[in-house]
Amino acid sequence: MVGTGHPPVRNNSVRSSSCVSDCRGLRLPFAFVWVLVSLCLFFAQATGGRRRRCRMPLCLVVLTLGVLSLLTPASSLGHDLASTKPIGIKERLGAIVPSDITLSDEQGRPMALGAIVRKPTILVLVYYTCSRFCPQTLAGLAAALPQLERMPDKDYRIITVSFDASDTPALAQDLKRNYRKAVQGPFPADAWRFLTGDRRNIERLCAAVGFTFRMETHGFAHPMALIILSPERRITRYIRVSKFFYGVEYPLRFSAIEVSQALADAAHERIGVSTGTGFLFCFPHEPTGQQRFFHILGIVGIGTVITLGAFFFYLLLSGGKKRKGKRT
Amino acid sequence: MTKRRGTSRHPSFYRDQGPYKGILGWLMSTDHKRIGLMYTLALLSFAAVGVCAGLLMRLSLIAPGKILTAQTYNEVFTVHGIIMIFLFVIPGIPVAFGNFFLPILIGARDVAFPRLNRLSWWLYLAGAVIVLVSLVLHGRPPDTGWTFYAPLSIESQANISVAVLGVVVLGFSSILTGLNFVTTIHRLRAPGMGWFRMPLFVWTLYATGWVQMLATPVLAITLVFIILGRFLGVGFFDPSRGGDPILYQHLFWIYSHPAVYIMLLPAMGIISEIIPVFSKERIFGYSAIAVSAVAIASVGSLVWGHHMFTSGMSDTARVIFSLITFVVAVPSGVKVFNWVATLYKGSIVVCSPLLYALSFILLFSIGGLTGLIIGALAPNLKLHGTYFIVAHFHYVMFGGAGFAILAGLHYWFPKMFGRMFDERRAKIGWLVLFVGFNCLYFSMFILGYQGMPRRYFDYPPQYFTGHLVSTIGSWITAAGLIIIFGNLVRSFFKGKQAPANPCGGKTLEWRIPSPPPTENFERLPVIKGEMYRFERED
Repeated sequence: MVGTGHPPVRNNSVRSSSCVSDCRGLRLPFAFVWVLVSLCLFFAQATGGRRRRCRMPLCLVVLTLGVLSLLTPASSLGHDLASTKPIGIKERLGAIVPSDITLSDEQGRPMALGAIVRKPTILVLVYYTCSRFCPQTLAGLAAALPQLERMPDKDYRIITVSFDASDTPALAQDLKRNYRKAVQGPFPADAWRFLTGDRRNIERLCAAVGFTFRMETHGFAHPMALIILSPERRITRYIRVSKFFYGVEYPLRFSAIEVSQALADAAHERIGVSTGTGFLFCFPHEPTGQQRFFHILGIVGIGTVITLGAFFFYLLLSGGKKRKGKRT
Repeated sequence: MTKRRGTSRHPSFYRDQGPYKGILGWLMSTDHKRIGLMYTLALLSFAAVGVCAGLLMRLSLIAPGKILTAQTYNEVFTVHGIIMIFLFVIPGIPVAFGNFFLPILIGARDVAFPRLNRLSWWLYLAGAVIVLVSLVLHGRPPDTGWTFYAPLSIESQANISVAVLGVVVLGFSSILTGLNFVTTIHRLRAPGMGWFRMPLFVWTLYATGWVQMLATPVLAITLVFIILGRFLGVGFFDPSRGGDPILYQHLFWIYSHPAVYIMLLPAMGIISEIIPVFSKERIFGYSAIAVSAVAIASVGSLVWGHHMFTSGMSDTARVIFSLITFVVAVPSGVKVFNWVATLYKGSIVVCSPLLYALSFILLFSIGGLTGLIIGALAPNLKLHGTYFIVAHFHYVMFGGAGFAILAGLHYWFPKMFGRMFDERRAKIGWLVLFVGFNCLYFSMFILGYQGMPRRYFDYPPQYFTGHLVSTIGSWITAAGLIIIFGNLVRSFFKGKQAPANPCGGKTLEWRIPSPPPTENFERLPVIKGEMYRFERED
């Protein structure tokens, strides 16, 4: 379960997905024009006198081929980018995180983990471009901080590390500004760091804390937890994010008492116990075949619009005809 | 019925039954007026059921748990929603007043496809019966809310499939009506009636017809997906089978937001008819009102995402949807300003139809402006899923479409039924309804702002006062409705014979006897000049 595999780098994904869309990009307009032309033919024949109406079946065949050609490239859209590597946290309570893991701070300066973790530390593993649970976890943490009965920087520190190797220190700097603002009241700059790193160091850190994640087409799938480290970089506690409170200001919440207690334990190098309940996972949901489904929807939608457009012009061009005689 | 026979030369449509006798003379009729009347009766009956469900909900909310259990409460609000939305207010004005008056207003003898019209009516009846059957069938009535959101609607043990099937059938009725009206307006206008000489109600029916044809198929296919999901386990909306519940919301609102305009546009049309007649003034900005109807219909089809700001959508999409939502307010504003400008310096006759129309303008403006509040991203995050939405929705649907239906009913009552109604009672009914309505729904704005979530069966004590005011408002509203409909029913039987043009209207329906003869016009009228030409009395 420990993350030994290579977490794929995002740049690769961008390249391969743009390759797929290129193939699609060639056929889509072509098929669209095909559908359009055949519908125009259809319309012209339907309104154009009796002699030519015998060609209508031919027209339908052309239309069907157009629709099919639009469907075909969609089937080649697999989700081969996303692997099926299991994700989760295998708790490694008591294990020591190596001190020589080197990460970059918000200015891009390299920092060894050993130099940062000298106080009880809350380690949060997220990725910075996430628009799902990661920001909510950080916001929930920011909301809980003022209630902790401990002084930031003096009694504890927070380090947020992105496991996405393509995240940049500039992005980290932005997030730091945001979340420091989100904490009610002043918060020392050094007490909450947002770090980035290269693939090798990220991998080592994740392996050390038992954290596995997986790259998906639009982001990452990963568990959510606060990992508490002691001044000796010993893992003393995993605070699980296990419940989503729908419809409230901070849907992911942390109990100030629980966090304070965990920090106090860490200060004394006391190893906590595993709570054992499930984690909440943060993941982008993009089902296989959804693209294909959207294509079908698109075709049906375009077809409807074209049909109604044709109907409109038919009514407009054929002019008003007066009903004569009585109703039935 | 004797006085409804009309003259011997022009027997009224009540008398001319066609080849069938008795009830079949109505059910088999292809006469647009008969079909319109049957629709009106059906709609009002369903509305009465919906009102009762609403009253029951409000009653339960002042004593949660004492009157309804939580499950029953869910079922009652679902029934209230399904009946009011799908059986009353969506078909509403087009099928009732549209059927009755569209051909008359454009100087035609009937709609373009009279038998298709009858089929629409039968489909409506069939759909309504299927929906009602789902309430009493073995098992539980639907309990998902009228939106049938997946995955709840896929997993619920209630009779969702039956109800959903009924709604699909109703959808087909709606599509055929739209098709019929659009064709009628294109092809059967009287000689001389150009596009910009058509009465404004016809313009709104035209825009509505296109929305019905364009949007309703999406609802049908979405609901068929639900049925497939329930019976065959096809997971269009089930993540574990590769589907996506958000997809349901997109598809549902691609229909259901334009459906708001299916309800509202014809309501605006009725108001545009009433205001000039009772202010004896030419309608201000005719072409602006006409074009704004089409603009609302087209722009309104692109705003569905604003129902889903909190469901999970990219920020770009949310900003765009929010922006288009603001844009759609512009043509609505154009209409409101034009109505007010028409009243300016007019010789206003304060009759009951005008009172309903004026209250429409006020209530719709409140509903519309609060719509902008929740259409903006930041307030939406706070107000989404609260009573604020419920209040906004009812101000637009009831204060808008509902009041317009009442306005139209009073305006055209003499023409439809050949009798005059008691004006004094109508005004008293209006006043009671207006007070009750605001009491009932304005308190919901405050409740919502304070954070009361919608659809909840119970609530913390601090919301009690708001709920109490709202429930008392519901009783006043019900009293108002009883006075209004009591008066209309009484007038139907005992009212004075109506003249052809009791309120001085200039459109074509006022040039034929009340009630109209079967063929509407003895000779097709030829239109010379504009429709809203009032000679000033001073």
